[in-house]
Amino acid sequence: MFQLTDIPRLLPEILLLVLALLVLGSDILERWGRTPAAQLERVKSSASLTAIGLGMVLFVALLQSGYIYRLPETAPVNFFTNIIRNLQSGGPGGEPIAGAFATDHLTMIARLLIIGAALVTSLLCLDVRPSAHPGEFYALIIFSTLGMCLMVGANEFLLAYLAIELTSIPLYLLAGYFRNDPRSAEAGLKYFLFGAISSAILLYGMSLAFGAALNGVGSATNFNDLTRFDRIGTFTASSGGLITLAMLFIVAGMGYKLAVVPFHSWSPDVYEGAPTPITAFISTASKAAGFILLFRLLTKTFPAMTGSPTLDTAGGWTAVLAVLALLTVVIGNLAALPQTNVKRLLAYSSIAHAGFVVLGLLAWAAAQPFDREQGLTALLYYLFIYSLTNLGAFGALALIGQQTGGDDLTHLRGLSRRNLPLALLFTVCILSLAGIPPLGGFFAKFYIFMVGWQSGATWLVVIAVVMTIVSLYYYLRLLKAMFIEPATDLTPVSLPRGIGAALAIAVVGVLVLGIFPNLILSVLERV
Amino acid sequence: MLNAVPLPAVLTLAAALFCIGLFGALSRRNLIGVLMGVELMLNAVNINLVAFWRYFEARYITGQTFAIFIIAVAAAEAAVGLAMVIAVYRHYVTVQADEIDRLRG
Amino acid sequence: MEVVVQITFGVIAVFILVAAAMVVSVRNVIHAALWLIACFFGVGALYMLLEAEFLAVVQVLIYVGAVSVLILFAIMLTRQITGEGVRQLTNRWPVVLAIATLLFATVLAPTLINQQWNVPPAPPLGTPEPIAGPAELGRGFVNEFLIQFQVVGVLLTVALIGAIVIAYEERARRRKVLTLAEELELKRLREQTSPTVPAPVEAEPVVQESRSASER
Repeated sequence: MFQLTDIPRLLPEILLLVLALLVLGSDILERWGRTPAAQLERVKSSASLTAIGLGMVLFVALLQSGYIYRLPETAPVNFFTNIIRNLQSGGPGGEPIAGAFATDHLTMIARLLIIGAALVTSLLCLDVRPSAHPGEFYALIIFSTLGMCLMVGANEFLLAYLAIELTSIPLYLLAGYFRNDPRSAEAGLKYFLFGAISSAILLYGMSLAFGAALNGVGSATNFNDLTRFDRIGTFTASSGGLITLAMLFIVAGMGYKLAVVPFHSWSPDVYEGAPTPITAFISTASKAAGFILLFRLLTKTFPAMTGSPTLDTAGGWTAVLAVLALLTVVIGNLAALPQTNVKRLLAYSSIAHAGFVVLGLLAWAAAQPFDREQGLTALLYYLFIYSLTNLGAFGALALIGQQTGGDDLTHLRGLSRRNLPLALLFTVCILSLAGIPPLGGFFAKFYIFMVGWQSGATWLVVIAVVMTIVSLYYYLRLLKAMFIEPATDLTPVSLPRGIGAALAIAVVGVLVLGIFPNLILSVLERV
Repeated sequence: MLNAVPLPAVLTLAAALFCIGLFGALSRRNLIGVLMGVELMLNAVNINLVAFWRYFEARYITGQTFAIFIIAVAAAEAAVGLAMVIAVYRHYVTVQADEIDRLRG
Repeated sequence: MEVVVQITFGVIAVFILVAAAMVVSVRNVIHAALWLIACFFGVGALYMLLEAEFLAVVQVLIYVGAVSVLILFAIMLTRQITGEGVRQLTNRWPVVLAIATLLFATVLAPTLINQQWNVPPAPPLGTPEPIAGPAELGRGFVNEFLIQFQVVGVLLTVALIGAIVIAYEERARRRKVLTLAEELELKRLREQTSPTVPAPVEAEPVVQESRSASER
């Protein structure tokens, strides 16, 4: 049951909802002029409101989680400390709210990741060409962030599905937002169609799992919380075939959202056609939220079916994931080799990175609980680094695309001569994606490979390492275009403040977390 | 109802509807036809849920609530999808899926 | 009495499946939409048989009353005059048909039929059963499923706003319905200038060409 004391625990989500309505209201309730300068001011007001608002929500979420500062018990009781005390009473721990929304450390950490990614995205959008309806654009970004925050805490089938839809529908709209560009309209449509089909498949799996739980429940008293993940996990021991089928459908449905092979066909087209900051948002935040939801779903709903990634015992979701990870890592990297459009190249590289992240999920098959927690920590660390890096890479690409008119490799030529800081920032992101030490990407990959090795999937780790070396080829090709190849056009590229700030955040994060990974590992290990 | 019709019969009906919807969604050229296939799949899921509700837990409401929320979300998704189909139509003057191929692959 | 129920279920089941098969295979997309409406009515009748009366009414109201009308409007707004005789299944439809049939016959049906179902025994015919109705649903919405209820509200708002923003067309750019020749000419002009982003569709008619000069 929902108690009144649960409201502080939902505070970031409530604040996001209020912020989205504020952004909408500020655009509607003001009479903007028709001149281009007035329209530009309209865009800038929505954008800055969104960025500042998301910064404040991030601050509140940080304070609530208590990871940076925890109010000591002996602090004096006055107005301000009471506010902080109430806020931190909504922090991690406690029963899931109404059985549906879990507020443990995983949710807190994931909220920070997602709201941070949304903040960087809104900074990236500050200088991209203004769109027709800026209020709705930014409000949709915030609504999608709200959906993702609900996704990472969802403890129950119905809330998980609704959160997935609340995340995806704004993303479909955002991908197709630039109506004057046919590629954007096509990208939005393709994203929508594939997403709708995958939602239906996921739902069918959920209904089968629900039926299997009802089948096995015997004479329990309360049926109303049978859609919770752990309840389904406890009651489905006796329904062999049905629950396996449910697991396969659920993995297939979530696989579309995470763009693992063979459900990845929408990803390059949508990443290429959507506006680049939105591509950055889709490839980082929604994938991270999807992985965390998949982790909760699989580990709680099918605990008896964990199986083993070495494929010796039949069945088990780790075996299915191991096969998917193999396909994803191989095909994602190989398909990126011949690409000449940088956005598609980064899309295939995102697919390959998703394959690496699946390795972290496989660690649940390990015997020791310590290894399982290591798997989750490695997964979260990789998601953090990958999000920062991808945001930086797509952000730089957004700027380059806007200033040079395209996203092909030929447009990258000679960037080092046209704007050296931008080229350097982009280089750091690319090197981190490739996994070069001492950047964050190297440690993330190392950690995930180590965890995968310990879970028994040694063959998969070997193939992943080989594929990482293969991926160096296309990452270095980007660097070659920027630094070595002669420029076809020497007009300087400017670096406006908004995108510059976003890129700086991303790159600094990658550098710092690479050299001092313990900064956030100590937090991630609390999960 | 429970005495007369066995549960697997209703579930098989839902499974058949799901497969027909999947076929429609993956092989229709008209974009609105694809959306109709998706609606068939969602109806199949709803039949599944209501059958499980009625046969196992007729006194409680979990299955029905799930079905009602799915109907609501399906309506919202249909609205969004059709808006995007109209937006695409404005550019390509067609709604046949294989003629809309400005993005490679 | 049981036979009556069985016959009713059989009729409804056949109706739903035939309507669904028609949806995915008829040539004319408007006919497909009408068959979809028939299928929705069939599913509503099935809910009635399963004693979920509120859900049956919701199904008819929303699916037939809103979603189907929306689909018909969208079909009307995206009419292609050249689309009548065109095939409506993609090249790979035999593969998809095989996959769907295999999925049903070898995966789904055996699992569902061979499963050991522990259905609680139904009370004998004639005794009233306390089946959950709208009252329990309403209580459930504000007690157990409160968060989900609010999330659906937000979701509907988002969909509403987004659909309007995407489909919005400013007054200056509103087109009239094109004739066949205008449609083909517009397509030809689009293909010629396809590498660059095309200009928004203009309202004045292009030069009328004779039908024999069309490319189709």
